[in-house]
Amino acid sequence: MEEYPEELRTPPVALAALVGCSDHHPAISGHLHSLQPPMNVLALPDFSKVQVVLARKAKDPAASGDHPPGGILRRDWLLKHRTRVPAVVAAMFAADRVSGDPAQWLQVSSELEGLKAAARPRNVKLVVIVVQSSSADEINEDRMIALRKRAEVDSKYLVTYTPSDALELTQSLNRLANTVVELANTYYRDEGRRIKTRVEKKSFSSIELNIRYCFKVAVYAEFRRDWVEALRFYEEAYRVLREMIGTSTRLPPIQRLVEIKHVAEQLHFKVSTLLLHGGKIIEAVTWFRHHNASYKRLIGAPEAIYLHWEWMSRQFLVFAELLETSSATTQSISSVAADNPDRGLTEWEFRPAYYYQLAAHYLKKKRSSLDIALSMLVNANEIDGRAESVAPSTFVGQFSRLLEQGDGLSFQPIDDEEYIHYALAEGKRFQDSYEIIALFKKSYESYGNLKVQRMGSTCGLEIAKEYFSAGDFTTAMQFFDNFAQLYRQEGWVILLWEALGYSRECSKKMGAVKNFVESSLEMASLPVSSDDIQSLGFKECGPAGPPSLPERESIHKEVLELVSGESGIRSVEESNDLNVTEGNPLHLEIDLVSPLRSVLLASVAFHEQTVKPGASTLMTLSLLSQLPLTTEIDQLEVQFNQSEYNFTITNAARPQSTSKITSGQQNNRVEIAASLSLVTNKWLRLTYGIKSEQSGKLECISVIAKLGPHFTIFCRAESPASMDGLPLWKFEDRVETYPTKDPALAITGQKVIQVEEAEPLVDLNLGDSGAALVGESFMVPVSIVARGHDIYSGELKINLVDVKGGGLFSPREIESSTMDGHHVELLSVAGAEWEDESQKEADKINNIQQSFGLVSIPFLKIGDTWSCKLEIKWHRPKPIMLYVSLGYSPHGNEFNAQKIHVHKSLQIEGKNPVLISHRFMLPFRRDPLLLSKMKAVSENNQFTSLPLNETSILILSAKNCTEVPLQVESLSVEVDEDCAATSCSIKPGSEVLANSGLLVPGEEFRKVFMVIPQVNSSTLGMGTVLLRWRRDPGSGEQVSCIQEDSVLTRHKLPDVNVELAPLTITLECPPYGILGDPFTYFIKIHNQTQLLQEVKFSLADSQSFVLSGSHNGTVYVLPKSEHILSYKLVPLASGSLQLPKVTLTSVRYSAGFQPSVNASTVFVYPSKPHFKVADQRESRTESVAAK
Amino acid sequence: MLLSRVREERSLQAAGTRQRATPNGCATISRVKNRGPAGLDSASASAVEEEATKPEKMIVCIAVVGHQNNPLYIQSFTEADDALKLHHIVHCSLDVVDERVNNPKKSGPLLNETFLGLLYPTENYKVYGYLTNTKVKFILVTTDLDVKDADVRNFFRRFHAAYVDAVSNPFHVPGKKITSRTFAERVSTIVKAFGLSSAG
Repeated sequence: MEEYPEELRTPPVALAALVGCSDHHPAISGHLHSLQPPMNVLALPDFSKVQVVLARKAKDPAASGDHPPGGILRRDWLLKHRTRVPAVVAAMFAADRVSGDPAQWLQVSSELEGLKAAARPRNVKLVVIVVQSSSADEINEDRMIALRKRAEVDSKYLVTYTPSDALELTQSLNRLANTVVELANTYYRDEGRRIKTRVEKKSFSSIELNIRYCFKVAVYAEFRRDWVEALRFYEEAYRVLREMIGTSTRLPPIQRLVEIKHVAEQLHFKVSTLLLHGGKIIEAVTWFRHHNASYKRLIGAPEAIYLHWEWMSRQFLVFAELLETSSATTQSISSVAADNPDRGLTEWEFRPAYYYQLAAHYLKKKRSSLDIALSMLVNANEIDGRAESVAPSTFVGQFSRLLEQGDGLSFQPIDDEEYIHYALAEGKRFQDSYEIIALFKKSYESYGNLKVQRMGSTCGLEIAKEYFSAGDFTTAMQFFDNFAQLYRQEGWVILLWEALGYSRECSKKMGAVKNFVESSLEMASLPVSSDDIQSLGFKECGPAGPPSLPERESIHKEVLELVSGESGIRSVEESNDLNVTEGNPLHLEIDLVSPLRSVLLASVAFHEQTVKPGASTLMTLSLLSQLPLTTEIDQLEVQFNQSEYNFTITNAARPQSTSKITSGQQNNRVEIAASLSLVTNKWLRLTYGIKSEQSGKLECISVIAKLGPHFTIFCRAESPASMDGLPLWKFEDRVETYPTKDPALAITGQKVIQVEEAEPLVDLNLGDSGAALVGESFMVPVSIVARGHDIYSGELKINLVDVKGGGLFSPREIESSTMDGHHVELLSVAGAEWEDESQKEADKINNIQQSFGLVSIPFLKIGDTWSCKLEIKWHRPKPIMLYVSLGYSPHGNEFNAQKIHVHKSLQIEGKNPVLISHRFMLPFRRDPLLLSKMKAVSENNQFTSLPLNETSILILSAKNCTEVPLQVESLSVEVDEDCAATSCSIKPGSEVLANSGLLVPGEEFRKVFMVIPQVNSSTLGMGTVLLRWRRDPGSGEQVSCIQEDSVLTRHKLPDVNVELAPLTITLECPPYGILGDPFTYFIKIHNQTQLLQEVKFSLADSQSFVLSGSHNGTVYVLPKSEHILSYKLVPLASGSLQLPKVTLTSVRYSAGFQPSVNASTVFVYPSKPHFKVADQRESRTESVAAK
Repeated sequence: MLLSRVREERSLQAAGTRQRATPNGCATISRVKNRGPAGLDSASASAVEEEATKPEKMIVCIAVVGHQNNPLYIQSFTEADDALKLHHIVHCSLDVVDERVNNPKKSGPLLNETFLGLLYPTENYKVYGYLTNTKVKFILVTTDLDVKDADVRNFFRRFHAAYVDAVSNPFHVPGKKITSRTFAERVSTIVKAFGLSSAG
């Protein structure tokens, strides 16, 4: 755009001229310039200059009338109207001159006459300005009229100008400006209309004039800011011009086309500018498309073809620049494009980047055709000589020879050949390459901003090619490598081939061996086959040639020769040859994302996932290459994370190279393979045994292939299970094989193997001793037998875990909870039989906590045993899990030797050994009247009530709940400390234990106590039952594991309610009766109160007895005394008989009493019995009854 | 008139002789030679016109592009040395497809429209796109500068049918390149038919 003259690029500005009174010119021209729209001013100091300015132009119209014009547009016409031909001439006269003496007036008149004469032929408008020095200046009215008449101007075009004070100045300036603008518009309208009539009446002799007239009308319209008309006539001119092609014969063909294109370019530029400035971006784009379509095919003569491309390129460039400057202000492109789907415009056509790209593209075309044209010339110097003195001529787009004729210059038409020479000479002066790069760069950056990756990369590729041809290989290679990445990602193999081909060539030129080998290998392994590329031109594909299998093979061969050191490739600069030698070895790395994976893919799979130490397993190393030719590998080195497993595989076919490598690492294992040749797309599978020694993870890290003496490829090993396909080859229709023979291994195989711990050769035994009993110190014997290993630095870990889960007895839990929380406790580890006394203290790390223990084990030789006992105490019945694990190392000398672990676990039930229950009884046939019992009907949860100062009987029973016999040692009641011994006396009924205290499972042990409460209390603490017991020592085989100590089990007795009974009734009768033998039956009523008690009694008859005494009655019992009712009974039957039923009712307490059935039963013998062994039983019964 | 014709002839001859001298120029020169007889018969001005109106209505390239924007099938139907350029054009057109798919036109006629229309014009080509329901893209490059949308739609419909048949082959692995010879033959038939229908 910058190469256009300014008058074309900017909208035209009206021009006025000021004559006379030159000291006022700056003020006036400054004011006119600041108008909106502005106006340019031609300031002429005196009137003689006006004639010069206007008169010279007066020649022009005469010339154009008769014979056909020499061209379409005059080059300087627009400039002339913008800078030299004013629309208005303002003649300024000082007021004193106007109103001065006749001589002055005469001069004014003559000056005015001269001005009129000059202005009239051009229809230039005239304004007369009278400059007043002050507003008070009196001007002669007659003179003013005379002046106006002389000037032949309307009265309003005679303006007074008063610069004296500020207000007047602005007023007069405004007045002046209005007048001048109005006149200028009139001038341009008149001129436009004049020419427009010529166009409309078709009064022109040639088509060139038609175009010229249209152009002029449009320019005049532009002066008036009538954009619509301007646009209309520009378009008209453009249309006519397009028609002119093929009909005009005025010039030689090449120059003719050049002229037309030049004019078309100007017209197009005007149209586009007007459209874009009017915000009509869609119309502008459509217009450009039309323009492009109209002229694209007008290539012209073959010699001058580059002129066409240059022109095309300029069209695109200019439009891109126009679009770029205007699109900043217009709305967003995508919405514009989206709103207009009908016109077939795509969103791309609204983006400057698109035009820049095409501009660059055409410029490239221009360059190549220019090169051809230049090369066709025999002698380059010839051009310069003949192109001399050719210059642009007076018409737009025309060139002619400048001839000096005397002191003037004249133009002489030239023929096409001369013109071509001139154009070639001009073309040679430009460095197209930089221009192309600049254009592509603009496009590239613009696409980059739009995040349009692929278009951008295409531009970038073009830039790179330019740099390449310009010899800037470093920059070019950066670009190529960048874009290769994109093509690689998306699998555009052919485009990748092209980019890599350039990159390879660059590195070759720069002598970068590594890059060269890398790109060569990648190219050679690309999935191109001959059949899918049918017609790629050789030239088009750049230095790499067309992508094809033979080409790949040749590249491969070349690289192989290079790396094997057989040949070096000469680079451009002599200093850095491409070669791989001892001093310049080459090392390539292929990782998981490298594009070179298709060159060499190493998959390593262990045949097993885990292995025992010392056992050997198999490992398959599979190599795959997509290189087109079979590649021989000299040597493979397999590396593991544990370097002692590394091994090398050498090719038996190539023994010479092995010695060098192995010398460095002497102790490494070396395998020899019969052949290490990689066939295209065929796995090379090598299976070797691995014997692992150390437990842990064994991972294959990498495989290093050595090809040739100084070339190595470091290839990261991959697991077949997690191996990705080759990114480019995965789209190919090819045979896919598994890396291992076993397909299952190919799916699951890993490059990692877990080497397990050594099999422990030590027995860890936990003695199973059945259920544990709450309260006892339960012993679990642990024994360690070293069967096949010595035990060094052994450690025994003990853990108690709640079986039900959750309640793990971890040390932390113990800290946080109270002692009550521990239901099961590890007390100690006891009974360890230390063999080595000296070691004992040092190694004894006995760390016992409530549920966790750590015990160190002394050194044990093979065959030795060691044992200990775990002492565990249950506080509550609960099942637990006991975990014991032994860790040891079989070799004493190795510090970080692997530990071997043995684990054992045992579930142990914790049980209550005995169930203690109690029962209170009153003495036989003796019943106190307990008042609380009467109320207790509703309140069941009352304590047991005991009568005060009466003897009650407490029966304690302990039932063996376990499955083992228990030996009860003692059972006693311990009175609580808080209630004094006086409150209640509890005495055992007898001192002797039945069955010597041995309880078989399920049996109950009972003991009778006499209780005499001595304190009247509603809650009397009865004390705690103490049961001392132990496992029956003679009961089983687990004798050894049970501690001999007896265990004390405590059982708290519930509190009782003690109260004074007001009445006590005692029934008394002999222990047995004899048929027909009378006996006495007493009913004793004892009043313990201080009150007289009235007691009603009744006695029911009984069939079995004959009875004497009163049946009913009421007795009064005196305080603290006893009343006895006595009956004589004669049994009438034998057996267990019910005594006559007695019912007593205390009137005071409204309480009735009836003895229980048990209490009122007596056994009647038919005759007097004879007892032999009755002593003991009698005495016992008596003792019970007596108390 | 006569003079200019003679000059034209001379320049053509000169071009012919120089062709051997400069192998680089073969592309341009061959085009000139093709145009040769017409240029000699008529006046040179009309030869220029003839160049402008010469009908070139044909599909030059057709491509199937997969999910990862990888080419599945690309076939060019041109004798000139521009197959690589067509690859570039097809590749670039994916940008437009992306843009179209990401910013669907609000005023688009149908939501499920598979035909993407003109993607972009470039120097001598027009690029059309088509997106199948399985997000496989078809790209068509034609030199026919005033092709009707209906023709292209029709072409794509037939091409889609051929594609569906090709990938329905049980031996075809989805996502891999289409190597079926039958498909290639069928495509070239469709392409030829397109040239006939739009030229007629």
